[in-house]
Amino acid sequence: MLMRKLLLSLFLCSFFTSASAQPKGFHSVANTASLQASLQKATSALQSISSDFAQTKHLAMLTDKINSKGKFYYKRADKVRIEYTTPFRYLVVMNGGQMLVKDEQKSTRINTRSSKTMQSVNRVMLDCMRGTVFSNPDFVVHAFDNGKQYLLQMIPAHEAMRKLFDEIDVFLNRDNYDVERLNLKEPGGDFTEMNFSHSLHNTALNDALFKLH
Amino acid sequence: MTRSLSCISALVLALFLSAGCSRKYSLSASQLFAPATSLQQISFCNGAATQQAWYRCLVNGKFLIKKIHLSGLLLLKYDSSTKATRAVFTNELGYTFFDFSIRCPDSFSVNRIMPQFDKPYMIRALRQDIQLLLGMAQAPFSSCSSGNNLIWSASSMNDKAYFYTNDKGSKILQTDVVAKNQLKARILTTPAMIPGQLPDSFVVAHLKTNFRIEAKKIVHEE
Repeated sequence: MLMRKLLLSLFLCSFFTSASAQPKGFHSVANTASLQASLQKATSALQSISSDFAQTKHLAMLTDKINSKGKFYYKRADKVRIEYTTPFRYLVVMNGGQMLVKDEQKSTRINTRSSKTMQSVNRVMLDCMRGTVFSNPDFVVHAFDNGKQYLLQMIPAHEAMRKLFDEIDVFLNRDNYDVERLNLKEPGGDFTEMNFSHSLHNTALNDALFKLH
Repeated sequence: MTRSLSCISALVLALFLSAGCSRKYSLSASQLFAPATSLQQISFCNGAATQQAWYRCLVNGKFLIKKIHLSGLLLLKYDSSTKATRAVFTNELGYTFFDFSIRCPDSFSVNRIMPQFDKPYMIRALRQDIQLLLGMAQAPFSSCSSGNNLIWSASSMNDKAYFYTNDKGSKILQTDVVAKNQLKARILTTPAMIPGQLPDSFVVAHLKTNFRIEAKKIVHEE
């Protein structure tokens, strides 16, 4: 009898846990392997992306938001440029394990290979932008579908990453697998949304965009 | 964010280890301080803490021969539900470095802080900077005039704080933090046009720990 109650409690707990983990309006993707294969096929044909982005930082317990805008560029296989233009100027370039960060005063070049945390952060950013999150060992990925978008919910797999993120949500266009929205949720309730628009695929992008100086 | 992580670690180390050179503090006032009998006289204490502004922040420091540079966004906002001012510092990509609530000089809480910032000396320094920027110090205040300015003296976390204001005491122009008769930090502010508003820009120079924060108000779209 006791065992039966325990099993029932465990069942109810797991039911409510999985029910609450499912985002509103989305249902779990039954065949994740098929989605992974389609995503891999789409990204393997991808040579470059250029798009606009709008970023909104939401603060827990406050209604305030800070909005910023800029341009995003990706070039196969590991070149990324995130260029903030409004309301401040800020540039992040990733290229072959190196990173350039430039603000109004200074440019800083970082070798991300010298630190495991930096490698992880570099990788998660690349994976989110190009939609290759399933292969990231730092996260457990759950896939959901709402008929228009796939949602890849990335849950940190280890403590170091859990200190940085509660969860990262990657919203993909269901037809072409474009990353349309990123939601980076922090411990404590703050979150940052990045919405991508006017995406262009496989256009010629000058290598100068990804220069590290 | 990766750059920020390494910079923060170095900054924390600099704060912890640096004893630095110190300067003997001399006040530029010829008259003696007289007790400020009414807090209403000190209008700067009751204005800025109820306002809101976003700032673009740049932090520069030097530890031994290593230069440290960090940038981000700072929100100062009065939260009427808690009657506290929130101070939230994030990097450009949106990641929160720290989030404090400050109600008065003695009421302070940490809502969130990333591990690299989570050191008592770091929190103390940031708390003091923000409180002084908001015109918060422990009563009693005393004041004297110096040319066209007023100088207000009060305590701030076991240090002495001197607020240099305009002749009406409504706009803070400079704040000096003095410990053991030596200048520890100086905050230079460009006041807003309207008295009681948060400053348009400010520079905090920590002389002992050799780092400097520059901040300028930004206007953002809702």
